[in-house]
Amino acid sequence: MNFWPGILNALKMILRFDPEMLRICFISVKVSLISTTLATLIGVPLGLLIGSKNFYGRGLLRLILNSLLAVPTVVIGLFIYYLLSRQGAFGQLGLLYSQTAMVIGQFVLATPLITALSLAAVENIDPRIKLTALTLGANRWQLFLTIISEKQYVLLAAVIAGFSRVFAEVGVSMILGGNIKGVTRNITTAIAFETGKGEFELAIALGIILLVIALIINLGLQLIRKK
Amino acid sequence: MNTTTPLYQLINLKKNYGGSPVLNISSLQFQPGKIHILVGPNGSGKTTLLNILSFLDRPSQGQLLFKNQTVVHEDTNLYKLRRTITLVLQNHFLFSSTVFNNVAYGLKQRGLAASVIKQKVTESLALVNLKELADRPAQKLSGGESKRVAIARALILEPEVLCLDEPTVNIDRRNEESIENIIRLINQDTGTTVIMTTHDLNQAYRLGHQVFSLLNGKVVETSMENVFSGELKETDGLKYLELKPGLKVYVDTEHLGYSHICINPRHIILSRARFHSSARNVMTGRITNLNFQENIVRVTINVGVELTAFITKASFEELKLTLGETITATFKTASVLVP
Repeated sequence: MNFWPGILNALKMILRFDPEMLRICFISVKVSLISTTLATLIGVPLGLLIGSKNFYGRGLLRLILNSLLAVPTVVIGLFIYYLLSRQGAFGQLGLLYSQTAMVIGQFVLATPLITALSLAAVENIDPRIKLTALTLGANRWQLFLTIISEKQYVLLAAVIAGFSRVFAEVGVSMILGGNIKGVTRNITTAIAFETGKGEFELAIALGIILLVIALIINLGLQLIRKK
Repeated sequence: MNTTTPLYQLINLKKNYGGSPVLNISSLQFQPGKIHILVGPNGSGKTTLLNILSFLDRPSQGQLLFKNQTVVHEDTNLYKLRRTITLVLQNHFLFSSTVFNNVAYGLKQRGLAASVIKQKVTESLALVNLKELADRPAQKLSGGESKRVAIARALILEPEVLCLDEPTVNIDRRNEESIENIIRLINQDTGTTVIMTTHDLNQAYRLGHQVFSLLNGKVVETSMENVFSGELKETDGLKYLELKPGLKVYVDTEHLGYSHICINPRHIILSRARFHSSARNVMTGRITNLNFQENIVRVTINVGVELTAFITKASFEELKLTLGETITATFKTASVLVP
């Protein structure tokens, strides 16, 4: 393939809103949004809880969380594959090669990251926030909401980092989704598949879209960090 | 409430941080409707005591009674009791929002209607002369304005007890006066009990109905004048603290090493000349300040350091003291408190 015609055709594909390309993007966004939302619902409160309580074993817990960040996506994919495969513990649910399986995999991928970043956000929190909220009459739940509100930009950055991680990963989606056209084929698995076939147009188009989205996310993150 | 019933009673109350005691109070009471002032040097336990009185911190030992009821810190409904008391921190914190939202915070937690909140916040900001700043981001205020927002945020809750930790430290004189007036007003108009800490003894006597002194975590009976710190040493069986080279204060104590000492200003005898006596401490210096109060005169003498003596008006008139003249101060070792 010539390089420049490949790029040109890819751009044309983007500009004419190729339906196949759009479907792939939609699946990527949908699965990543659902998994990030679930990971946020668990990760943020968990991070805040671990970060704000002093208990025996907190250091170990942080070590485990940080180690989980370094686990390759294919290993997580493999582990969940074993659980969901026919012989696995949850085999009878028949979830393998579905968007649900991808969501589960990406959830496992994003939760430690969002938890660790939320934990870091509150671990060295200004103690006056808590004292002020309590003396002004906040109960425990209101205190929790106040801390979230005071740390909203850092926590949002944690969520965006979680989304970036799952949106760009390929291992979990490939192993658990199986790259089924129109069902589980997302941007990253499609790029791998199309490149393997030697058909670069769609792969380049998706690659450009992925890069643009990653750029927008990081720009947003940078703006948030400046706040 | 019966005014003879104390609002707070502290009985053998101790607070330790990391094993070392920061507060050790055998008995202390606060009466309702009064302005109580806690004075003491840094690290004397003032802030810790305020946190305990605001139910934000729990004592390590001993008993804390509020309106004759023992305070149970494990109670999940402690926040309801906490809502009767509001503390304004020394280094106060404003939430990253507007001035309006900061002042409204406590009312929102109590679930008041938006219209009521709006009206109350407007009134409260008017009280501290900050009405026009309602929509300003709280983080962009000057130090004095910011402190007044913190006070307005506490006052709007109409607490039974208002605790203030060094409310006028690091702010200019104009804001200081304004804050003192607000404290008086709130105490007189609504009978709010005020418990505040300060470094400024003049402010303490200006504002307070009752002044407590804290030294090394203990409540001491003397006024918090003449507080010094340093290494207690011993030579020829005499223990002393050297205030500056050549200027020793002899003390009667079992301890040696770093300590605060406090010389009771009521026990210092002023005389025109040295006289022969059993008192160990004799110092001479010039009078640098005379401060007339109801029954006493506070005489400040520079003996190398500033030393304050309290004498009666009658003694003052008899001695005919004037600023700048040289005078001798004499006091016994027993008049030097080593907590």
